Amino acid sequence: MTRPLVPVERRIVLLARSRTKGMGILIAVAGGLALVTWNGERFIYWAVGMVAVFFAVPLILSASAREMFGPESAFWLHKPVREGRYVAARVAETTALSVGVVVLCGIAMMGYGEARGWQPEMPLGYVLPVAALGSFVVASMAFGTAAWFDKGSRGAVVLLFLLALFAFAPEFDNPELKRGGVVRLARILLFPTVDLLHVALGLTGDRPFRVQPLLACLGYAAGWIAFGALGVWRAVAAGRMTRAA
Amino acid sequence: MVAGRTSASAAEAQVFAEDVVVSYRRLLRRHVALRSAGVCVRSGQVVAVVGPNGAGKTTLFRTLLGFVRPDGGRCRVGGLAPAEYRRRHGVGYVPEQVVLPKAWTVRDLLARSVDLCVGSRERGDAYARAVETARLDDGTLGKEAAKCSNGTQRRLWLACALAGDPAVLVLDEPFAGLDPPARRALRREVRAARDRGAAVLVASHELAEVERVSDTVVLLRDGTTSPPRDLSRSDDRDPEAAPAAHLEAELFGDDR
Repeated sequence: MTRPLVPVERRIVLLARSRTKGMGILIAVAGGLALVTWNGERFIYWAVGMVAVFFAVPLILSASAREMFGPESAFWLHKPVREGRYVAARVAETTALSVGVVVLCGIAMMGYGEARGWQPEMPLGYVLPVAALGSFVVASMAFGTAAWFDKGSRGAVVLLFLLALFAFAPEFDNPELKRGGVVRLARILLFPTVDLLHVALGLTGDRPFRVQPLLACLGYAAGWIAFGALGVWRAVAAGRMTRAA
Repeated sequence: MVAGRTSASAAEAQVFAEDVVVSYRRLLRRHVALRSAGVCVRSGQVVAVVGPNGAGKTTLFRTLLGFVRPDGGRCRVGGLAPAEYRRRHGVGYVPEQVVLPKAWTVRDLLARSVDLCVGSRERGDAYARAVETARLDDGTLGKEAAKCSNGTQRRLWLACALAGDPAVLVLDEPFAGLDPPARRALRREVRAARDRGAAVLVASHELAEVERVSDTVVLLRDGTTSPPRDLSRSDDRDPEAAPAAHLEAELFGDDR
């Protein structure tokens, strides 16, 4: 089969180029924070903080409602393209690029730590799957919110992330802490920081690796993707596609 | 003939709409954009829809593209529901408001348009034709499309819309922002599309251009269409007898 004139890797490069300003600002902020917050001790906490900064990558790369449903979508949708497939391709490209960029940022961060004399207690590669998983979850949330809200979708994701940090803070110090109904409900709605922490601890060998936290993260992401798919279906049915968002 | 009704049947038309009603909700009020609109375009025919601002031309086109679901009436394109036809075969569409994706170069957009509607073996030829239609030099092809001038963006969008020789063309204000050579080229493209059997719908305020490219015109006012009129009876000796002059007088009043 002949390759398309614009192959998927070219489309991913174009997606990255469309966000050079946002990515540039993020890299500058992350670099500044790395310099300011490094104290040579408790590297793992520093790394977790930096990973949290890198979770902004999928938010920057994600499609806004305007891009998915606004007037520019008419450029693609007057061709023989199904709306669902158009949105799915955009989400897949965003997710692939987000995961790739976050992993690269993670490698750069590790390199920086080593260059500053940090002695690794565990193989560095263990942090990277967690960074990839987290960025996948954020990309799913960004899609789910943008499919429903014309404005403020990225703000909603940041809010869910920050609320999770506050709500689950006691569990960072004691990952085995058992908590009541409200927190369990919050687990369904807020960013799954505790489950990510369990995955990280499982990978580093600090705790036995269990598959449930991994499934919880993937399930949470799947929930947002399903919510977003419902939003796309609603937008198509209501004639919102191609209109100014 | 009744408003919103067309003279042809759905079976013989490539694009067919009858008694179409479309309304939007704006906060608590319902705004009726189309009350009783109808249009019929056969293969190899160019039909113009003219009317004042806010008459519902864009809504009618968006309905025929399947982007808007009508509240009432009948719409068929190629014998299918408009959205289904668009998804299966594609419709060459140039919107009134041209918004292009960020970061994509002109070359990338032309190539991607070809990718989406042309089989892999014909892509090379189709891309070369699209570049020829856009009439853009190598320097412009490498530029970011969203940063090009309005006229270049419209030419690019038209070339992308024509890629793959769609059987249905929907052009919403295609002459806006084009210089005279680009207008001539657009007229040529519209005639070429008609000659190869495409059904072409054009909305424009530029009645002289409408008269030059269209076979039939439909007036749309307050969401209601009038019966179609044949434009081929133009009298070249008397400009005021030309259909464009009559249309303008009818639509916007006669202050001669």
